[in-house]
Amino acid sequence: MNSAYPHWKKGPGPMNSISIAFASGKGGTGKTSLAANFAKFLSHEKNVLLSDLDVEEPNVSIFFPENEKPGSSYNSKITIPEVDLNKCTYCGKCAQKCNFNAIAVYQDKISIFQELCKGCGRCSNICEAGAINLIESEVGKVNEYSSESLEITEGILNTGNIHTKSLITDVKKYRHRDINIYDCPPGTTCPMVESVLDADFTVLVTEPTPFGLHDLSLAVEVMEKLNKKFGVIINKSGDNDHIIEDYCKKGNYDILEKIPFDRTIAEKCGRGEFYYDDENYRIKMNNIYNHITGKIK
Amino acid sequence: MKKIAFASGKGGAGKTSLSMSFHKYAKDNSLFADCDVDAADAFLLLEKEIQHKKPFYSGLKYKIDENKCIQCGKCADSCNFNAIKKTDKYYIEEFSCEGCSLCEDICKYNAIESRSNCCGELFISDTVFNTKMIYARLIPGEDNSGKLVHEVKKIAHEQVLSAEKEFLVIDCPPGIGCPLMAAISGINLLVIIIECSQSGFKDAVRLINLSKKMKIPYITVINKSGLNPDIDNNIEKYLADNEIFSAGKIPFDKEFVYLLNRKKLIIDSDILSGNLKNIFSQIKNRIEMEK
Repeated sequence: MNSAYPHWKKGPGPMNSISIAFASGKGGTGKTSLAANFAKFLSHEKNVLLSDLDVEEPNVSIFFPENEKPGSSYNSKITIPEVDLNKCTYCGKCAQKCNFNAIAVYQDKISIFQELCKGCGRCSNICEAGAINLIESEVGKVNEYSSESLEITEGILNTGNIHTKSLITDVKKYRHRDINIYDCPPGTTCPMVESVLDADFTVLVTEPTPFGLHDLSLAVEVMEKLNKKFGVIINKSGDNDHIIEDYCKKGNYDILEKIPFDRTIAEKCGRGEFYYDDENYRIKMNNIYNHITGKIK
Repeated sequence: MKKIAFASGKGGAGKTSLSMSFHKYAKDNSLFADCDVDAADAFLLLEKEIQHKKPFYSGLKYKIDENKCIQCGKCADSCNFNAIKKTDKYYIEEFSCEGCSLCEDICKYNAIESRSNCCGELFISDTVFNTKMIYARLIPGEDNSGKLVHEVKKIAHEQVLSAEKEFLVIDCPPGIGCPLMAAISGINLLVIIIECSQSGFKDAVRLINLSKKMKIPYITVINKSGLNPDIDNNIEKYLADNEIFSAGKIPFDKEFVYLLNRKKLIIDSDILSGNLKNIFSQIKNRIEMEK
């Protein structure tokens, strides 16, 4: 596989473990703040791991500025080609066969464009002269830490690197607990798909604006394509909720909960503070959990 | 012709609101390109009528021919993306596949077939204020967003030239990965919107570092200020210490959402337009200085 941690062993998570992904088509709807509040809330009674899969811009850590127990940190790698110039015959077959245009061969020169390489290894397989070796190249880091009983893993993509998907895979295969919460990247394409692919339930976080509604409908399309269980949370809820409610009613999608559009919450999230310590929000977090576990069973 | 892009790293920082309004501010000499192909939203407010659309083909999709496959599993062993899986028979997990064709090479029985894949659509439309906008829609769940962003920019470039305009205004995707880099490569000026929150600040700094690495000129605009004065101060101190130009500051205001829900642009708001026009004139001066 693309990368490996020295101590990592592939295997199933704990019995009956569940994975819940927080995703949305649109950015800035409140995925991270909801995932962090939800995970921290559950961690008081349960064995919870929160994974930050938004590896291009990971922000879970702002909620845990004093991560009392920093843990290990690993490099996430992919394999890329390295050419042995003594063996290379400059035949150009590797360049022809590369579907990502990551190799160019001239008369007596060969160039590899790392930023385009996906690490598939086709070039090495095709090379008759045996001139292409696969070497490891770092795409980012996986960090682990904990806050009281909550365990947290985050991926951080190196600036200028494009291997978002590979790093997401690495963050997830790293460890498992009874409840695994994923904070997903925005969008509706490969990084988002990779994040929700193994989730038992996906929470689509939206906001009641025309943009929120449009991007929710795209995210729902992904859920239906993947045949995934999901529910909707209306964040920043207010007097325009009907646009989301009408859409969900029509499609028969569940609305799990609403979090009001409130300046105090915006301020708290801006500072990276939790809001679930308020009784009203604890009830909401509990409702969300009960709803999800009811749907998974 | 100059390209100016609006990005923020973080989602929901105000990229689309600001870029659409800037385009209206400069409507006499600009066109608009929405490069957030994962979730293109600007058309909801800007589009009057689609003039032209075309499908976007990129990458390959594979299928295992059950009649030819002998279930040897060599393709699955060699796949670096774990995209070939087995229940009772081997199959290709479409969402994990990167489209490299290694499995085709490995299979001695020619049991793997590939075909080109239509993964999105491109649009050229007239806008409500009689300019043109270019955007694309990647089919949800598909790959190749970076390539589609390139395609949007290519078509937009041609459109700006043929319309004899001066600028292309680009609305960027969130993040700092492949689609974002495709959106900002080769532009003349990047406007980085810093949302006044811990995460907005952190994400903007990662974007600033990327711009430096890619050698792209950038300036900043501060959005949603006033929620947490401490964070605002930290951001301003960071910009001053690093000698980064700020074109201005937009306070947190529910008016943004109020307008959006009525499908109106922030530049048309009595409350917001004065400040915005000042910021936009600074941005415009700046881009005129860039080569």
